[in-house]
Amino acid sequence: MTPHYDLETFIDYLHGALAPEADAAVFEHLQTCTACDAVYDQEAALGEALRSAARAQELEFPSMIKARVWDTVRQDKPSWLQLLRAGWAPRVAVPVAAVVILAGYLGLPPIIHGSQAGPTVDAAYFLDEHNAEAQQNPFGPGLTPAVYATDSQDRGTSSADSYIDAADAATLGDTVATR
Amino acid sequence: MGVPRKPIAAPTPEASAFLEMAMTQYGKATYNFAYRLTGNEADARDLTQDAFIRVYRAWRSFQPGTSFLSWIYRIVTNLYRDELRRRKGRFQEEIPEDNAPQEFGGQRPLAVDPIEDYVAGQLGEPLAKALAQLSPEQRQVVVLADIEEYSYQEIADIMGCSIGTVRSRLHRARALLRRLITRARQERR
Repeated sequence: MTPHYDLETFIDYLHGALAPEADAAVFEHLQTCTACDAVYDQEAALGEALRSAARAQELEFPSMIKARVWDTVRQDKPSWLQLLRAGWAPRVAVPVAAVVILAGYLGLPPIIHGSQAGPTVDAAYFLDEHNAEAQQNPFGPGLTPAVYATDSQDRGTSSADSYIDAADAATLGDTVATR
Repeated sequence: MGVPRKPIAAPTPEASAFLEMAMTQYGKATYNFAYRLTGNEADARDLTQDAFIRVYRAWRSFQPGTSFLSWIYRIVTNLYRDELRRRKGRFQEEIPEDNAPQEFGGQRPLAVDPIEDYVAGQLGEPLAKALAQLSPEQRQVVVLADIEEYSYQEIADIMGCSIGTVRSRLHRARALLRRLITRARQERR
């Protein structure tokens, strides 16, 4: 005859925690051993009593818990830092980064340097510059030096000579001499 | 009892829908589990509330296809353990509300038949008292193994311990329960 099993083995057997071979051996033993069967019945009865008592004392889910959970959850507003972190998802970060880079490339220098703008240049400077170029190349397309001559004369400056430096003059002189 | 503040994600409709479904389907089971652990309704309410707030905040960590009950029981167990550690003792005894018999835990479901209720009360009283005398860990393991009928492996996962620990706790808890129930019955006679 096989030896009796201890209480712990019956508890494990009851909870299906034995290996298949051990489980089969205990099952077989319980069929023939009344002493062990009585011990096993007591353990099984304890489990059944616990479940019955639990079922009988089952409580309904109080609606106030649900309300309190929702209240807490709704007050759980994320901080600006958490929102910022959440906003740094790639789908947001990539377009934002693209816009920032583009803005930096196109528009930021005037914005950044707006308060320290460079020396203002009088429009007349550009007209003189243009006039000077026209004087150097009187046959250039679309140039009409005569239009600007009056303006230059009004301001009392020589229209072309002042823009031809010494080196140019020398070169011009050489060219005339060789001819 | 308070859930530690942790960074949370911005509220999303998905999280809200998940929470609503969780409370509707598993609120009762979770509350009863919390009640069996704590032994009183006030603490069970707090524990359940904190557990569902955790569910809301950590809903993305739930793996679809696994047992939601096991997941929330693990949350409840961890919160219960934290709370015990914080209080360094047992949960407070609940003050009976409206002069309700304390052994019935105050509020009872109205749908229960009074006769069945009485019989169950007779059966449940020594058991409930015996359960209350177990250590929190022993009570957890008895509730999970004998009432919720989880396997040792599932209990180990929920409680965050080894199967060997589950086994030894259950053996000791059952031995103690038997002694306490026997003594209670002898005292009644």
